[in-house]
Amino acid sequence: MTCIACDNSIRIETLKQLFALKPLLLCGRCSEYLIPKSTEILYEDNEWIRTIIDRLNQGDLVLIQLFKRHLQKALIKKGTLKSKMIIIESKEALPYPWLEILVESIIKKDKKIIFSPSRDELLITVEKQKNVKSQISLIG
Amino acid sequence: MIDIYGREFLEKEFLQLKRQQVITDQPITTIPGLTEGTCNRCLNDEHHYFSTFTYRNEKIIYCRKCIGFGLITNQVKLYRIPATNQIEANVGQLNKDFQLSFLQERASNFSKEILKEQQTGMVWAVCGAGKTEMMFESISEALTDGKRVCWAIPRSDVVIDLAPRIKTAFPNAKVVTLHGNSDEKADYGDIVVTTVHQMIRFYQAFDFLIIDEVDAFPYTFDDMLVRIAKRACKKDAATIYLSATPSRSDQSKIKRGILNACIIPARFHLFPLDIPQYKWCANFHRHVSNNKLPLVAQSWIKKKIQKERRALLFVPTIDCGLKFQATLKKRLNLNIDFVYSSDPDRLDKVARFKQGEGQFLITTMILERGVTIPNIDVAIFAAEHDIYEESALVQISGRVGRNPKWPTGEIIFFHHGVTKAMEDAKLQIINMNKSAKNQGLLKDATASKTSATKV
Repeated sequence: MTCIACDNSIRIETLKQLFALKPLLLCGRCSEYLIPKSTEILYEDNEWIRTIIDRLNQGDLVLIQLFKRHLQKALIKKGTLKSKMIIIESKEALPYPWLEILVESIIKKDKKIIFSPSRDELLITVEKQKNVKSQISLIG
Repeated sequence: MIDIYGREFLEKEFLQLKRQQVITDQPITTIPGLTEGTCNRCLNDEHHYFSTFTYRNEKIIYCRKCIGFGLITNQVKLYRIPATNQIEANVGQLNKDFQLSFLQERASNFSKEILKEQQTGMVWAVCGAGKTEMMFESISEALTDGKRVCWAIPRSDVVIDLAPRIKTAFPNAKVVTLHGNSDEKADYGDIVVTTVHQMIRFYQAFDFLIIDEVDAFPYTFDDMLVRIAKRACKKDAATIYLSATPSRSDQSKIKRGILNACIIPARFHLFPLDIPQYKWCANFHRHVSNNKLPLVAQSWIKKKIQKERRALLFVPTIDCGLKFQATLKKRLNLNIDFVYSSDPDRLDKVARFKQGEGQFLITTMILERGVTIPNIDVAIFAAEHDIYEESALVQISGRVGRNPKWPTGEIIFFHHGVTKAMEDAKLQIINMNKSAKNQGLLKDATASKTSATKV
């Protein structure tokens, strides 16, 4: 197994890694930098995650897997099951809108997704009813 | 002048150049970005470097290997314009102050032969032999024949250092410098001095390729760079590899006669290479972490201060260097600069040290190659560290004695246990001296006359 972030081999160092049900995505060193926070701000902002986002902006979309699980939990908690609309804010001029693709891979096809260009933010807004919105920021 | 010939473009760049009417009616070849599991830009065909995702019900496959240069997918096209050399008549004229030593002539004639026969060869010349100057006559011949030249180097610092020397040697040639931060990326050059990475922009553009420091990171580490370099040259291009420390694999090919080589075992000033000495000094990193200096290191530094000898002090890691710097300040009241890869002032500090400021300079491996400072000694601390491979130790040792006025110096490996790399490095230097002596190439270190001038 190779780390999808740094391309080094992944060494099994813990029992949790040994008995993981799904293939490991990150090596021990990289996984130290992917720090989940809360359901409002998903991950801690640091240099490592910024380089991951830069690579996603270049089109290296395999890296969206890193955010999938935690984002899925956050979206469920924010009530996407009952939501009418999800608004995604991220940069406009990208090879592919990776945040939109990430969200689409998680939620059901019947949800309406609106893409809204933004300079630096990576925000997902879940609109359950009129004027009832909750926001998730990818990093912060 | 924007260069489009012998280049490959992504669609966005191609359309922009068309809008600017730089590309008009030139013959263009269009190929898909990916073909049957191969990326047509970096020629990667390893399955695990491709990835897929779905967007608007379409399956997109892309190459991860060369993504730093722009996304290549199964849906994009690459646009190639064949090379047409536009080299003017007097471009190959060499600066008249140029003169080679008889040893440099040997390598120069070898590279001219390689150029003429359109082959591949290696010039294995010791540190300080003047490898750069050895290539000038063959470059001159190539340009005179209307051939375009590429000088590729693994690292951008060395590209920036080398380009002015080439411009001085070839005053009539257009010399462009390409690296990550270069603003000449679209410019035409008769001679292109470039990092290997930037060669990805070219497709069958060059007739003569020189790869300098062919054993250095990252060229040896990444197959993609080897493919990129080959792809940037025409099929009948001549290639010269330059190195003072070729890899074991290349040395074996030379021994077996598979790779043509010219070995230059002596420096242009014909004095022997200095042989490193070992000094045991306990665990260096542990000492400096506790703000202490091993006694033997302390005594060596004090002697240098007494004799007013300048020295480069190599450390294996940035952390070790910072602690060493602090310890020298505390124990010996010395304010010494420390340079390392991510130091934003490194170019400035090195320039100042070259100009004679400061008695010592602490450095990581960034000064292992490509730097010439006259009349210095070298100390490598924690020489047993894994980072010091054989080639690195030989290269670092090669920083000493490069100038004919000061053809010798001291090289000390301060260690906590002699490693194989240290032994191999010392042996390589001894063998080179032996080979040079057997060929009658060496002069006495006390002799004052040299037989060459460098540009």
